[in-house]
Amino acid sequence: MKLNTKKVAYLGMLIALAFVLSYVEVLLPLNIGIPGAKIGLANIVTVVALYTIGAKNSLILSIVRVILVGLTFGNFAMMLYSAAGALLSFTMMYFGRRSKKLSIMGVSVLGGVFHNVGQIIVAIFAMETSQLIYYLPVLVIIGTISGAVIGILSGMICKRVKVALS
Amino acid sequence: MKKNDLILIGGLLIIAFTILVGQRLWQKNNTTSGAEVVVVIDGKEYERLPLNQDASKEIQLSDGQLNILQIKDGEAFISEANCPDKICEKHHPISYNGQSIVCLPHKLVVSIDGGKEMEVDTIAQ
Repeated sequence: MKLNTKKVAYLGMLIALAFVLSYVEVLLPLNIGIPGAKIGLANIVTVVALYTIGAKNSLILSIVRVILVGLTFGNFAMMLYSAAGALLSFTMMYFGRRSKKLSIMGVSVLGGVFHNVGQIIVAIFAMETSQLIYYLPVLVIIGTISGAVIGILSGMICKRVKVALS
Repeated sequence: MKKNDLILIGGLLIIAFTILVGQRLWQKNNTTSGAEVVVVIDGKEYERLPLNQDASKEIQLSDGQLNILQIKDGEAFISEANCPDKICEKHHPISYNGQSIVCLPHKLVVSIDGGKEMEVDTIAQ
């Protein structure tokens, strides 16, 4: 896809939106005592980007978001966790979309689940403890539910954005 | 929404719930009266305390990190911590074998060692 002015502006807007949503999530954390559990609001932006401006641009968007949010609200360790989550989630969403077997809803569920799974895998290595694996079922449940809700929202946003972009 | 989406969502939820229930049952059945609370910091064992004795322990390291571990009525929990996210404080009290409370910023893991597994390990060694 050639980047024209409209698309550059759109990508910039999405990054800003992802940044703000990550901030909202810092303000309203899903604090249930489990490390890595997140609502994943910023995932809305990644899903919308994947369906509107293509895989390459949405990967760039994910990386820029992780770096920006990590530098602003977190520390290096937190950046590492969210980078692992974001990359694994992006990879799964990319293949989920390419398989054509899932709609935006299923793709978003994959993203939500694997974001949490990616974070916990890095945490297992960083903490050198396998105890964290016990949290996996709960994280999968949270990821599935939040992914489904985000899938519905992203579907609604995509419909409107596609009209604006064309 | 496609049919495959529902299969994916349903499948994930059913598998996760099944494992969760199995995990809880296993944890309950593998906890003996000699269960211990194990504190591990940065991969190294820091302290072991009996779960059946009430205690309050300040875990303070030189770099200022502080977690207060409480053991009360056979349950262990973190009552106070100075980590940025406070996830460990919000964790529900733990009492069964294999359950743990994790404080990622402090690299601290508090877990329950049910006792039974230990015997098997010693025999194997």
